[in-house]
Amino acid sequence: MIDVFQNDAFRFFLLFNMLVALGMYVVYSTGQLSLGQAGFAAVGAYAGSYVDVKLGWPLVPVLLAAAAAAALVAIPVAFGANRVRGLYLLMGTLAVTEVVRVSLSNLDAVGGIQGIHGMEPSGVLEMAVVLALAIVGVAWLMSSPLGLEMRAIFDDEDAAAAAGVSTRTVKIIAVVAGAALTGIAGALFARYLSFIRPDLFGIGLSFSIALYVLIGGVHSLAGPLVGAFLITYLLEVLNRMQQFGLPPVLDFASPWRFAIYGGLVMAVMAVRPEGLLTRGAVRSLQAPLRRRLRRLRTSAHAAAIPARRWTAGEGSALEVVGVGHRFGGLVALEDVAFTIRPAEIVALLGANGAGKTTLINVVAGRLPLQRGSLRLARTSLGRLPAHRRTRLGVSRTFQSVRVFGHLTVGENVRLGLRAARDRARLPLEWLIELAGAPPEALARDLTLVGQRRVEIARAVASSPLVLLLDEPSAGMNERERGELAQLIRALRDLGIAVVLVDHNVDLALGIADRIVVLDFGLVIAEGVPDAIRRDERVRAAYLGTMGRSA
Amino acid sequence: MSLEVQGLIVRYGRLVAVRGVSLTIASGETHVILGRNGAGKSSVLGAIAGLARPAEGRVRWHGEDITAWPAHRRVAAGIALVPEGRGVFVTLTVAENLRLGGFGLPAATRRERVDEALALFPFLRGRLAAPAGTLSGGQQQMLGVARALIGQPRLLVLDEPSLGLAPVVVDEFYGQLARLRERGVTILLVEQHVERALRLADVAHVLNLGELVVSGPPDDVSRDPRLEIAYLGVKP
Amino acid sequence: MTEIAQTLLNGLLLGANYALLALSYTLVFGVLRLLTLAHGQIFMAAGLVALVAADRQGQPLIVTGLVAIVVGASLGVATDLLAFRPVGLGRPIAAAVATIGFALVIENTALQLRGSSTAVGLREPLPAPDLVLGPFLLSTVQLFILAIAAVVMVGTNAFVDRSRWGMAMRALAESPRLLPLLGIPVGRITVLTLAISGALAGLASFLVALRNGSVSPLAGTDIGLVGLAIMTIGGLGSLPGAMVAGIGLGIVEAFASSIGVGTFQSAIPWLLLVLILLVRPHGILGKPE
Repeated sequence: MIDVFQNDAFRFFLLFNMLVALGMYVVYSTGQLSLGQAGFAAVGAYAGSYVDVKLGWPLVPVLLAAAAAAALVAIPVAFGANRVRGLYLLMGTLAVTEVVRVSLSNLDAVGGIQGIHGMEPSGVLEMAVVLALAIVGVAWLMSSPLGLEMRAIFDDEDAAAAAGVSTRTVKIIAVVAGAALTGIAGALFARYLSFIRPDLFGIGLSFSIALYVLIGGVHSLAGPLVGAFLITYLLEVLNRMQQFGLPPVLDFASPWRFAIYGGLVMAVMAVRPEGLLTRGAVRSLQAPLRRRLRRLRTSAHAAAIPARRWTAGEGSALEVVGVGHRFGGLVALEDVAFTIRPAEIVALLGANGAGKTTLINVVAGRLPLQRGSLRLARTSLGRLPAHRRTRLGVSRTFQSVRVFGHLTVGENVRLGLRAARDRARLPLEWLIELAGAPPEALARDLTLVGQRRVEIARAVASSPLVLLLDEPSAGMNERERGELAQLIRALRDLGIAVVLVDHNVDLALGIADRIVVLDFGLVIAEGVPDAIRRDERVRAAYLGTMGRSA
Repeated sequence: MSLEVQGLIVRYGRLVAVRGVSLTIASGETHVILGRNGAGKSSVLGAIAGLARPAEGRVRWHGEDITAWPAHRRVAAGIALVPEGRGVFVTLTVAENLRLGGFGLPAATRRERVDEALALFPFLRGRLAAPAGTLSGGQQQMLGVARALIGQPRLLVLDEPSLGLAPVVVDEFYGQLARLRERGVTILLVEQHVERALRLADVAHVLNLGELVVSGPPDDVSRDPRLEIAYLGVKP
Repeated sequence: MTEIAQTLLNGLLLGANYALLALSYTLVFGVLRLLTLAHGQIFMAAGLVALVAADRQGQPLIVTGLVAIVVGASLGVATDLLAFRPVGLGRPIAAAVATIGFALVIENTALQLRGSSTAVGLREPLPAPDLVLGPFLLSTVQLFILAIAAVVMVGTNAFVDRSRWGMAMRALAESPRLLPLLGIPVGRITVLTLAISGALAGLASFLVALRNGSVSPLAGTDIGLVGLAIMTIGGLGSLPGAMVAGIGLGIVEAFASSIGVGTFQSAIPWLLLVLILLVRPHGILGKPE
């Protein structure tokens, strides 16, 4: 074994790389892949060096100035980043790195391409202290409610909005916080070298930082740290191989070491496309702990239903008036109107393509309201974004299950609870029972039906006034459907207005207080289940002779 | 027997979508599989067309075991699936969609076949240069069928062709299918639209919760109470 | 007037090369919805191998060009087989990271074999300007570059728009799921796409070498990123967008260089990118996803 740790510079850059990886982790945990990190490091390095050399500030204020400067530059970037997605974001942030570098080269106040010299030196110790603090801080952030929201956005931005998360705000905070951390790293870097030049912060650094996180894995705090550590260590060890007097072909100090590194990157992505440490890998290390935690077992739902109410007893919970929706030339909803009262179950029936899911999407705010009006109790939903509606009390599940796969069952439910705002909250224990899985299990490890139950628990956790369930019984067996029916009735008894869309007509007819039948975007029948069961138009709509042609 | 499916089981993770389905289709017959959403109909078709690898069971085509064949190889062997919903490339023109149907054919043959398809679906002739996305839902469905016919399949598999179509369009579409049937094309059809499908089929199968509960001549199946149970989940 | 015309011509020449390079990125992204980050290195390696071969063998220019195209196409195919396939079409980020790995492999193998300081040059000196076309003064080589670039751009577009294979490429872009149902294996189309894309990068490299007279093993990263920036400016996946943005950037850079903007010169693509994204979040001719 080669002892690379005796080398002071290696120790410093190992810690530095781990710190910048942490900064990137904060940004990328919201799904925003940023290649602007080198730019933020440069801004921090320059701001820190400037107040150090020109104003003689001591270490701590220097680092704070670096963080503030990087955060300031990050604010417009974060707003811009919110306008674009995916690759456009990647390229836009890459441009930030390049623009910062060139701007600094042309800024005479900070020495142009010569940079700044003569900073107070600080070394490995300061770096280690800052990294330790940063790890504690980021760990705290990621386990806080805000961190929960960030990770939810990574998994599914639309579902996060449906769970009441203001995705825009959270994403901006993540970029700015990550930039501040990276700025501090830059300032420490400058002090270690005692000089700073623009070309130290090129696009190459941004790519390296991204690789630490992508190779390490983004679903745990350990991932980025491990990624940075392993890559830095590997390159250094390869670099020292020449000490063994190997023949030139095996002289890995040469460019070969980067070629080997490249090959390893390809291999890691082929084998572990989510990075070396997936959340599952981290968790399997904690298996004994998990067994002790698995105390909460599923019991009958009816047992412990909380008595507290947050819903109104009368009036209408949701009014849908003249709602129409088109996709291009296709009319999905022509003119739909109905009202649902608190403590009522309304089932929407209709053949495939009748417009049921579109209606749910319009009510939940995932699709814009094109025509008509929507009122929740006394509030007009109008143009409110999805997350505001959830906070006001319109909660939903999706037709294709959308849980946050990299969050635990408990975290999925906690996220829902946050959206309850000032309405009375349901007890966490009861909601976990409702989810029907151990709270520390990862949602993506559950069966489809298991995930569906978690999704329902998450939606219920926000103490909704109106609950929109899109195909909740899909894939469920007889017994599970029975439990679901029992649950939906229990929710109604809490005062929730439940809108149910389900292909299982038996379930719908069995538990609904009222049925609304849609066909080609129009309400063709409305009434109590028994009347609907006898309605010829409904039988026709299902068995083939469509309402209008009959 | 041209197509033989034996003991088919299809799983998605821990969800069992198809639980032991067997059926055989002779050349020239028209079969329909009925059942509500989630009954496993599309999964059966997927296993036949090569989109889903069954966990257990065999698919034989003219005696040859094709269970492990990739989809494109089955197309070459004469099995064409027209998938559910928008089975056409909406950004490509109608003409391009048709030409893609004869991708591996010599240019002259391809042109001939496209002409034949246009003769069957004359409305397409006027829309050849239009992007397929500008066609109505029913027209897109028929384009999907026309495209599949260009490869002159021996078995045409259709997944819910009437989905989201207006009743008049469905009538027209079924008229076309009836004409294909008269021309001797073997057809396997999955439908939610019970009445029309039963009128067309030689043999009907009812799928409920991944199992075939009834198989037989349409008249018998339409009178069978298990059909209604499979659809409405209620006993009359 | 002549000066402006001359600058415009320089911009066109530069822009033609940019457009070819951006086209090679755009083809991959447009068809596979995947980002390749190894094309800069493919560009470099193709030019390097071609010039080294020319240096040793002394073959005619046309053979040198063919070598560059073949090397580019081969490395393009290698990108598909070694980076994209093992990861799979459905994981765009992991696939892009794998191409970073591939880029490191190409670049450092070249560095190892050639050393960082040795740029390889064309043995024959380039002819001086010998043609006068109206206000333009240009050399045969320049005319050759413009003609080839124009022909290839039009040809690539026509291939994607009209040929049977191009049709299949556009079909794959729309739905990888549907393609096998028409009897067309997805793998054959992805290999074809990467081969054409790599060949375009190789050709662009050869044309740049003709203009500059040399290729350096370190040239890959910068030119590759500029190619990416141009693709993004033009709109991801839009072939006309890539060409418009490439030629546009070439002209802007030529004029900036003639008035002299110092070190800001290298930031021009990126400034342009930020500006365009602020006004049009999907690039000049891109469509919202």
